[in-house]
Order: sequence, then structure tokens, then C-alpha cells
Amino acid sequence: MPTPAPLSHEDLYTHCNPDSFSFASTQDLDGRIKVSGQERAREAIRFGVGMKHNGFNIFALGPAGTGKQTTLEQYLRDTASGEAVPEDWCYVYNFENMRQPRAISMPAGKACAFRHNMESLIEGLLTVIPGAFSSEEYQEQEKNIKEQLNEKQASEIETLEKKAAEKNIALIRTPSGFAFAPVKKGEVIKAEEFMRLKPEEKEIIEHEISSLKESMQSIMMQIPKWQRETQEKLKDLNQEVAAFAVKPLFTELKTTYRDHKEIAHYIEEVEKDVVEHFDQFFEKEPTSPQMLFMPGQGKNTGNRRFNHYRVNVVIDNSKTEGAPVIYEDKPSIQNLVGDIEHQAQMGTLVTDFTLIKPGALHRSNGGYLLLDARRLLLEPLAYEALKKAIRTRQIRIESLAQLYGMASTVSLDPQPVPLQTKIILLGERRLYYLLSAHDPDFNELFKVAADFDDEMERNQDSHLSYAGFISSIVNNEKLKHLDRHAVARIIEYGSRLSGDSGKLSTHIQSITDLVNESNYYATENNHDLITREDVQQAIDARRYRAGRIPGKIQEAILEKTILIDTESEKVGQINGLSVYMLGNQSFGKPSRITTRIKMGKGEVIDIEREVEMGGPIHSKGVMILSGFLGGRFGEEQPLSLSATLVFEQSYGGVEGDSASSAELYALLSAISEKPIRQCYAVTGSVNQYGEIQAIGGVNEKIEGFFDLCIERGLTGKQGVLIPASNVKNLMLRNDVVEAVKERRFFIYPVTHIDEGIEILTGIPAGEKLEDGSYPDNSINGLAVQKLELLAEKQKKQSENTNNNNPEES
Amino acid sequence: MTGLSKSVTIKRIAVAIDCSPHSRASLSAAAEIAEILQAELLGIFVEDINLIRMAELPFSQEIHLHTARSEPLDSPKLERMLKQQANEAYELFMQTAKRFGIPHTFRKLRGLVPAEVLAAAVEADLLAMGRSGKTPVCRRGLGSTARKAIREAKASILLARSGFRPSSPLLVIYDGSPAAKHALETALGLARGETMLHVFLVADNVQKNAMLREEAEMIIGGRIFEKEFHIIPWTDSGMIARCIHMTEPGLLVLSDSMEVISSDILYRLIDTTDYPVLLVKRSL
Repeated sequence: MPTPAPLSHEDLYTHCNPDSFSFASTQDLDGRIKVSGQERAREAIRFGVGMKHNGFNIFALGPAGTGKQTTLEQYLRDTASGEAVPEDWCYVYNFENMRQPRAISMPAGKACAFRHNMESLIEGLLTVIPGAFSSEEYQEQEKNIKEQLNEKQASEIETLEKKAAEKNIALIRTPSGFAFAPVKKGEVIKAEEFMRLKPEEKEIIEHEISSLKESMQSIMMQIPKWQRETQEKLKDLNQEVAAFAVKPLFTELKTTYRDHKEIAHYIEEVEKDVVEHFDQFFEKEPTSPQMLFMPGQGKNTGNRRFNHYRVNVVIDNSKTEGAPVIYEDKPSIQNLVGDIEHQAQMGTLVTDFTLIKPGALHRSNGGYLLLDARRLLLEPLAYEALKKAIRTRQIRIESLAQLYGMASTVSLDPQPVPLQTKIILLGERRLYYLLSAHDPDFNELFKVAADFDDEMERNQDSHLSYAGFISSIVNNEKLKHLDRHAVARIIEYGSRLSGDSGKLSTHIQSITDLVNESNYYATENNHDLITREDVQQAIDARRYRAGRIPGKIQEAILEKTILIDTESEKVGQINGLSVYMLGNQSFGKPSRITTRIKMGKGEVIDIEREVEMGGPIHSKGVMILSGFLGGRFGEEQPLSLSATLVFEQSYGGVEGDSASSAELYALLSAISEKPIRQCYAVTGSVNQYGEIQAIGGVNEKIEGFFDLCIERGLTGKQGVLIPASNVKNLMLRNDVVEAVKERRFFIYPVTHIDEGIEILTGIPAGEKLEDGSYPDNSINGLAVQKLELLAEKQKKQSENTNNNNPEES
Repeated sequence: MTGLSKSVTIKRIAVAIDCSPHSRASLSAAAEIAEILQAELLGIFVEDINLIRMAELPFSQEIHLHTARSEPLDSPKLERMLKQQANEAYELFMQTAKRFGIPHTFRKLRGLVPAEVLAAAVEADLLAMGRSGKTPVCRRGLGSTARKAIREAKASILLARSGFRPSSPLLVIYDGSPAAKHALETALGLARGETMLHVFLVADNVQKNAMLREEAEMIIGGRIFEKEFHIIPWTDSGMIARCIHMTEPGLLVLSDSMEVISSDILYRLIDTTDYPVLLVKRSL
């Protein structure tokens, strides 16, 4: 099998040609994001927004930072701007059931005017009612009614007193009531004097007093009735006066709202209540400290006495243009469905409808509400409340304490507001699939999935989209503009980020960060525009900042604490390549893989697996090697070997199958006893047929080995073997590309294990001959010879054992 | 108060207490005046002899005020109730006197209430009492003791009612007589700088009005900031009462010896108007 030629430097990096842009800098662009490469998601959004039926809410799924929110907000703002402005909503007192404040809607911008009108009404009532009741006419009438009672009582008692006086009997006040006693010259007669009277006289006096007493009792029994009658008369008078006084104010208000049935009805109720409770307008304003120091109260709200007549505007769309698009950053239940706040007064918590606070669902009603799904699920009961609102198509305010049953005090149950909001959840794919699988409501309520890709095709259109996006970042964050070379460099970075020279990453957050960091260096370098050099400086600086651990590892290798050979040739030893992920940074590192063989039963022992430091994929990779060996060498004879494989100086475990080709090369070297050139490092997985398969992190792996070779000095022999299918992923650093260009470093695209072993050993793998054997001097031929030798030895060993222990056989 | 003029001398103020709302008001007013004048306060509680005698009668029955139920009233029970009332009056008096820090004496008497109150008031320069006492609930006008006091007492009389405050607007009826001048002087003595003073000038012509006003202005001098003069051409109690009602005074300061308004009209006026009254007697 011919060995592949090393890659040309042109294969290692796909440049973005700045001359392909028609603009000189991002200043020439309009700063609008032209979403490209998310056609599927965009179509889903368009469909979801267009479907007005219940349940067609949207879940935008995709990795964090891929611009889901930005894309959606921009699309929704464009759509919403042409839609109708939703109605205003306010809460008013419910005179029929105070626990259920009434929700009233009205055309946009009218709620504040209504509130103002009601405030003016209160001000007016405070003047008009005391004025009416302080008039001389009223005072006179009131006094007359009271006098009538007094006169009636006095008249009855005076008549009785006179009647008694005619019979020389006086009405006397005792400490707790009244009594009658016979008098003489104004003084009550003494007991002795009474006893001296004739029996008939005594009897007459006693009879008279008894009679007077009964009369007095009769009068006293009637007093409460007279008092009630007087109170009724006073009440009638008061209500008549109050009704007359307030009528002009209410007539004016009723005229204003005659076309609004609900408000007109409410005003009728207010008028009735004001007339009934007119006396509240006489009281002075409370001056308790609790009232004075209530936070967040303006002039009008400081006095809570007239809250019954006030209007709590929860949604004011007077300044809204089009339908609202709201993003709720903290989707707690209170922030979603609203809350009923309380105030501490005299050691207790009190509330009324003026303390009802709207939630995001209220604010977005008639428009669109965007929520982060993860944050929503983290907030207690918020997801359930949202689902309930969507299902019932109404916003019902329920406090957390009530839902948990912690507060048993009487609170409010405000009338729900009809919900007409399109809900858009943003979240990662895993979250979407979890909800979809485990929540039966989810699929009913979020029928539209907008799946955002984390990469897009790289072509001229997507280059322009990237440029537009960069321009929007510059405009939004007020940064320096980028010249087209800098834009090209960022596009190349986007390609590297996606791990594919033919793709671009849609991870907007990373690009935004890079633009910001480049802006910093452009400022430091006194550049008017951000240049390619500034961007490169930002990328290098980022790598440097994250380079502590790779640096330490490199240092350990250079100091030979970690043994990595890059010069000699060794049997059964090879440099594998692995990738480490630390935070959002990744880097490659070479690892020494060794193998030893001995007589055995054809098994390959993965030491990592034996000590439980190898992951399942790695173990699978090693088992594939057994399959390959069996297939290639075990057709004619049993494999009488036992091989052990290990990642030397690995203390943190190994996962993945990207080293399986390296392990197979080491095995072939060990079996054939032909040394491997240590100037190479290898990556790639292998299947049972020896075909090399693609792996991830190819750029980091190559750069990891290159950095070590650079430190030790490039010899012109070093290089890396990669799967040929990974060539399209190459977006290597400039220094690697330059070294390849100068033929000081080589990258071989390998498709089969036989190609790789020849590069590594300088000896052809050897193709199977017609008789089933391999050429003697090929790797395969040498391996067969070695295996035959081992089999022979094993056979002899077995015979010797049997001869020495005949009984056992 | 700015203090009474030298011509107004009050060394001892007697106050009749029966624990009714009106008598409580008169006690407060009397104590306030006593504090200013450094006068002694004499509290009087009279156990009504008529009540005691009534309780000794074999058939006496008491009708309860709030239930209209009747039950026998005997002497021990009445004595107990009177003692309780006396204690209450004493406590009230002592608390008030201590609050104002004035010299005080409390006297518990037994006899006919009007006679005993008047007898005690002989030793005093001013007798304070409620417009009506614990007499039947619906009595209109003055109580029997007040009625007797304004006619027979030598000392000046202060008839207070619940809700009375000495700092309220004052009203004086001035006809130019020496007694009216005396009343005006007394009112000025009671007034604070900011107190409103209404002066009713009883004049049936312009010249007399001018003269009375000039006299009154001279007496008042700069002792008071706010004053209003009203011309009253009538001398009947009904019209005067209506004028008084229009000005809403806190205290009426009247003399019992005016030349234009007779004593009978004056007594009727006091009886019909429901305002607190200070009746300045000639002897003061």
C-alpha cells in the first residue's frame, strides 16, 4: 500500500480573503444582523409566531451562546412593530367582593387618564363633601333632628316631673338611675315623718310613686326606639346631602366613560359607596409613623384612606409601539404572574388591590415573552405557574406563600386577566429533550421547536453574515470598527471554533468576546480601527492567559518528568495525542503509549481498564484491536500472545478511542519487533479492518505536539499522523502552517493502518499474498513469524507440562 | 394667658364635682385658671341628702338608666354607691390638682346640693361647675344647682361643658357700664396673645357704637392681637343668642350688672345658649 504524501501547507488553513468583501470596514455596514445558517430555526420561529392557536408556543433549543435570544428578539421586534398595541389593564376595588379586585381593560394609553380622573375625583370629594356638611343649612337640619329627640325625651320626662310635682313627688337622679320620692318644700321627707303619716296617706303616696315609676319605665323603654328613629332620619338627611353634593362630579365622570360599560358600572358603584360612606371625607389624614415612612409612596398614595376609589394601573401601553417583546431575566413566579405585596402596619401585614404588581405575562400580554428555560425551571413553581397560565389562557396572581400553604391569612384573589402572549423558551437541547420526554404537558404547550445549529456552512454569504454580526456588536457595544482584514481573521477564528475549515461557529458569545478583546488591544495600540493584528493579539493573549496548565505540562516533558521521546526509535512505544478541556479552553498533549507482549491466549489487556481508569469508549477501542489482530493473524493459527497496553504516566484516566490507531501501531511494532520513529505522534481511531476514522480536536492535538517539538527544536523529521477524514477540520496556527511550508514539520493524512505503520517504521506493512502469507520483511510478515514462534513455544511448553503431569492430563 | 389685671383678684376657686362630663370640664378649666393665678383650688363633693332620705323610705325603688328595670334602693346600698362616687371625685380632683401643681383642698359635704355648693362658694372668689349635673338625661338648659348659683352666689360663676378649652375664642358683651368694663377686663385677663376676642357692642345708634368701640379699644390696648367688634342693636335674649351662635365662641364672658341688658334677660340667655359662660359678679 503506498504511503500518503504529507499535507501541503495550503491544506492546513482555509483563509478568508478580505478582498472578497465590498466594504473597507464594519463602519460601511448597517449594523443589522443577517442571520445565516439557521434557516431551519428561522422557519420554525416564523411558523410558531404565525400560528395563533393555543399551544403553538416556541422552544428555541441550541447550545448556549449561539445567539438564540438575539436572533429571536430581532425577528420578534421586526414582526411586533407592525402589530396592534395591546390594551391597558388596571385593577379597581370590587365593591361586591373585596377579596376579588376587578380587572378592567381599556384602549392603550387610557388607563393612566382613568387613574388621574379618579384621583381628581377624590380631591374633589374632599372639598365638596365637607363643604356640603359644614353649610349652615345642613347644620340647622341636623340640629333640628337631634333637638327633636332631645325635646321629645325632655318633654316626656318634664311632663312626668310636673305630674309628680303636682302630687309633691320629685324625680331624683340616683348614682345609677332614677327614683321618685315624696317632697315637702323642695326636700325629700324624712322616713320618720313618712311613718307618722296616716296609712291612707302613705298608701296614696306609694301608689302614686308606683304609677309614676311605671310611666317613667315606659318612657325609658321608648328612648332606644326614638334614638333609632333619629339615627335613621340623620342617615337619610346625610345621604341626601352627600348625593346632592357629589352628583356634579360623578355626572362629569360618567359622561367621560359612558361608552365603556365596565368603567361606567364601576363609577356607579363608587358613587353609591361615597354617598354611603361620606363621613370618611371628614377625617383628617393619618399621621402615624407607619404611614409617613412607607417606602415608594408618592403624594397621592401616602394617604391610603381612599384606596377603594383609586386605580392600580398594572399595564400602561401609552408609550408602547407595536406588540410588546419582553425578556424576563429572572422568571420567578412573582416576576411571571405578578405579586400581591404587603405592608407592615402596627405589626401586621396588610394588603389591598393597589399593591398588586404585574408580572412579565401582564407586560407581554398581546405580544411575546422570552424566557430562559433553565432559569425558569430553577425558580420554585414558576414553570407550573407558566404552564397553568398558558393552559387556562389567563393570568391568575397567586403568591408563593399561598401556593405552599404557608400563609393562611385572608388575602386577595384578583380577577384573572385573559392571556394572549406567545411564549418563547430558550434552552439547551438536552433540556428540551428531557422536558419533552418527561413532562406530558410540555409537548402540548410548546409545539414548535426552533433548533439552532451551533455551526453553519462557510461560504461567501455566511462570511457577510458574520461581518454584519460583527458590525452589530460594534454598534451595540460602542466599540471601534474593524477593518476587513480583522473581519477576515475573526471569520477564520469562527471556523477554527467550529473545528471545521468548511464551517463557521454560531457561538455568538465567543465572537462577541473576541471583538471586545480586540477592541481593547486596538485601543492600547492606538489604532483607529481594529486590525487583523489586534485580533491576532487578542487570540494569542487569550491562549497565553489560559496557558498555565499546558505550560506546566510542557515544562514537565522538557524536564523529562513526563517521558516523551521525539527523536529515537523504540519497539512497542508510540506518541499518542490527547485533548484536555479546561473551562472553555482546550489544548493538546502528547502521551507515551507502550505495549509489551508475552505468550498468552490472544488477548489484549488494557491496563487502564484493569485499574478502572479507562472509560468505556477507550475500552471498546482496545477490544477492536483484538478483533483486528484476530482477523489479520488468527485465520491460520491461534494467537498465542498476550499484550498489555498502557498510557504511561497517566493518572487521571483515559477516555475516547482517538488513540486506538496509535495503540495498534505500538502492538504491531511490539509483535514485529520493529521500532517506531518517536519523531511522530499519532491520532485517529481504527476499526476492525484497520481503517483510520475521524477524531475530534485534531487542531489542538497537532499544535500540542508541535509546541513540544518547537521547544526541543524542529529536526525536519517530526510530524503527526492524522485520519485523512480530519483534513477538512484543519485550521491550524500560523506557526504550524509556516513550519509545514518550510518542510520542518509534516502532517500525514492516513486512511489505513498499513499506511501509518510504514510511515512510522519505514517498513511496508506487507500485503497478503495469494497463499495467505505476508512478505517476509514486511511488518505483517514479521508479525506472523513472531506469532508462529510464540505458538510453537507455547505448544512445547504445553507438551512439557503434560509430560511432567501425566495424571492431570 | 397673659394674667389677669390687678383689678381682677381670684385667690380661691371652688369647683363642684359630681363626676359628670360637664363637671370634669369645669374642673380642668378651674385648675388651669388656678395655675395661672396661683390660686387655691377647692374641690367640693356633696352627698345629696335627698337621696339619703329617699333610701330610708320603705318603698323606695331605683329605675336603672340603661335597662329601665326597677329594684329596691336601701340605705346601705346607697351609702356604698355615694362613697364610691366620692372616691371617684376625690381621685379625679387630686390627679388634676397634681397635674397643674396647685395648692388644693378637697371637701366632702352632705346636704342639699345647691345649698351646700353655694355655702362652700362663699369662701371662694370663683365657683366653677358644670352647666348641668347628673340630673335626668334629657334636661335642657341649666341644671338646678347652676341655675341657683348664677342667681344667688356672691362669687363669679364659671359654667363649663364637656369639650371646653380656655384657649378658645372669647366673647364679651359690652354696653359701656362699669360691670361690662369689668367683664372685658376679666376676659382680657383670661386671653392669651393669640386668642381671638369678639366684642359685642350693644348700641342702637352710630354715635354710641363709636363711643363704645373707642372705650373698648382703649381697655384692650395692645394686650391682644386678634379682635373683632360686632354691633348688636338688640337687647332680647333670642337675638343675642342667635348672634352668639354665629360667632361660635369658646367662652362667653358676661357681667350680671350691665345697664342695657337686665339680669333676667341675661339669665335667660345663659340658660338658652349652650356655650360655656363666665359670669362676672359685681363683687369680684
